[in-house]
Amino acid sequence: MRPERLLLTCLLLTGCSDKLPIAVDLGPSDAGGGVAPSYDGGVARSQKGNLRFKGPERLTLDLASALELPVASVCNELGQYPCLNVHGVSLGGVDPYAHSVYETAPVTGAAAPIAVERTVLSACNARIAQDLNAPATAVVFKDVALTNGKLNDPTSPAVATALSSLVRRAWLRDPTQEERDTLVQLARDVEATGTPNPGVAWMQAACLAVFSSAEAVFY
Amino acid sequence: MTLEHTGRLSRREMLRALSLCAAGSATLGPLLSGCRESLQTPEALEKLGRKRDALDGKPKFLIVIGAAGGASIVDSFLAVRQSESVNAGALNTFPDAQVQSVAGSPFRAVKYSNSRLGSIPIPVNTDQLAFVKKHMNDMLVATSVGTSVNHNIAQKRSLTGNAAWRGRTLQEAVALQWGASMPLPNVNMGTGGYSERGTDGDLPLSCFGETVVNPSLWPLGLDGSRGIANAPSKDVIALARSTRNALDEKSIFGRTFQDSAALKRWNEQRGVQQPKLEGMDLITRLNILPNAPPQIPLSQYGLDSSPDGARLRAAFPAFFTDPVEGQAALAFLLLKYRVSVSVTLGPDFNVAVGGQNGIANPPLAFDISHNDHRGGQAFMWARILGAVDSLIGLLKSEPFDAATGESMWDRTMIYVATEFGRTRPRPANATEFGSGHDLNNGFLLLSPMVKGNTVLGGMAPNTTLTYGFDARTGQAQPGKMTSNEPDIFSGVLTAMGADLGGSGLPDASAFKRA
Repeated sequence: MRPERLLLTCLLLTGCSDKLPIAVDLGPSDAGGGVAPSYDGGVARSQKGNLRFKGPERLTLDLASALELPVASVCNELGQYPCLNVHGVSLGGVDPYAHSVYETAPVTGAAAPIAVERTVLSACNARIAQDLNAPATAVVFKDVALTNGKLNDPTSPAVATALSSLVRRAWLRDPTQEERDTLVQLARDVEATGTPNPGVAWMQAACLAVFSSAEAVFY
Repeated sequence: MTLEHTGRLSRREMLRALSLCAAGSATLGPLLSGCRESLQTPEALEKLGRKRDALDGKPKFLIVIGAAGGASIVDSFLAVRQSESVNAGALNTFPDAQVQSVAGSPFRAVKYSNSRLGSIPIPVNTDQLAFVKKHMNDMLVATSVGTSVNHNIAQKRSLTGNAAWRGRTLQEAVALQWGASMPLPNVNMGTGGYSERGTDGDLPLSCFGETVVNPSLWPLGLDGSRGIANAPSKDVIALARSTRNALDEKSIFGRTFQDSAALKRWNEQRGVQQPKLEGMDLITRLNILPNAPPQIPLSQYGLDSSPDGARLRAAFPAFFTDPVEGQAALAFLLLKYRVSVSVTLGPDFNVAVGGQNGIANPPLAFDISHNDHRGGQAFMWARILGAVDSLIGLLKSEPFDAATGESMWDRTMIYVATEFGRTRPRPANATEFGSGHDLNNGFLLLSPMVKGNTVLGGMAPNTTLTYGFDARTGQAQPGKMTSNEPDIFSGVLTAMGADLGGSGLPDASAFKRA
């Protein structure tokens, strides 16, 4: 054998492996490792899990649309600095002209969940204030009766309708009975804190809980 | 051997050769690689002179100032006088009187005056002497040769040492070393390559920079409900959050995407980092803004200015309009309140209106040197050194540890990163000229941890180019013009006393104060 052939043979041999190629693991093939199909018919875990965070523009526009608010009144820090600008980069956005941030963040930053809550809470407050101040044109919390700041009846049809409206606007689907019960229980829990105007505080809390949920801020 | 006669090996010879190869690689390989590795052990390096600190569990701090555009070392601490160079008229040398010396110091200081900055009709009157006199004992200049004259690439390489340590940036290395207990170990207010993440994907995500673009308003986003008009009480917010988390956990969406990396991270941020940030009352402590209605109606929204607000506004009076002043003020607070161990700031390429003459930041920062080299360098160096001086003053006045008497400054490193130097030629004896990008330059480090009053490397007056040095001994090496990005990277971390075990970084003990 010529030396160069010997060398080539050696290289080829060392490049080979006795191990078979490993197949890509697509996860458990049965329900045992997944989710038990006892709830809402069960769901299969996404193997890709390729979620996208909404980012500042989509979050703001979705809130404006869902809560029927002008975009400019969704959230303003100190009443005058648009959250879209103040928290835009924290929410994964860009700011090319003012601060030379040209690319979106590959992952959510540490301040993002807080910026989401501030934006959502501001928008919720704006919606609730309008619903309470002009009941005839209320959008979400229509006909929800309050006495001395308290909900008259957390189990009333008006509350159920308001919760359905809230969830549909955020998640584009109806709430499950368990979700509805959880949000009704929230009303009782809020009242138990002794906070003034617990009915309004519940509206704020329910709106914040739904619109800052993962289902509302990822897609 | 058959090879000699036929050019081929016999089957027996081939088998013998293969077995010898196998035996050789099996026995000698580990010996040889072990020999090589034994030279890299911390013990071996210390025998060669590497200096290391005992890790005391207390944080050290890094402030990176990204001097965007190319801060030229020959327009500051290594400036050359005309009388020193045989090529004075053709190269960037100064009239002798403009280059001032300080007794007992290798540093120089440039004094510059002109009625305009390029085509911008604002006067430039700067003098670096006071800064050098005040800080020379904490100053170290290390000469450098980079590997890129592209802004963005060179910016990033000034922070990674051209991927000297698995591609991590200095800020990420410091965050990993000292930032484990901090809520935001690495805050980055820089731009371009100074704000980019490194490429060491093995680092914990918390080591990567949290981007901040508006230092005055950003702290408003560090609490989920405070400062929002008519927000419910904290108790109610807590109930809303726990309800939300329960809904997320049970929802079809939550269960479908429970393995999503984005969602896992989000839950970690919501559940662990957010309470940490809110618990430190950072919406108040980091808030430089004064209560000044109607523009800044803090009290109307139930907010207060930082307890340090007044002195920071005094140190950085243009904090609201000049990005660098605002960034420097926030940088101090982030370190003081142990939010971060690494903070990055610096001018960007945009014009900032403000300052004494109407322009706080000229277009392109140091890169305005293309139009007016001397004026641009003088203006921008004054801008950087002004911010550094104020920061050092604040850090010196801030106690770190009453038991040891250490101030914050005693444990802080300021690294003035920049992309590259500037080309040296000029039209004959011109005082106003433009310059391009040049790999040859030097970096400024300031800290009580560096070997102060020191220039590593040197300057050749006839070319006005810097030459290199031995990063271990500090010995100047005239004529050495090779790239030394890893030396600079290692020097910053070595001076800080970081554990560099396993890094493969060069020994840069020359940077460290004895």
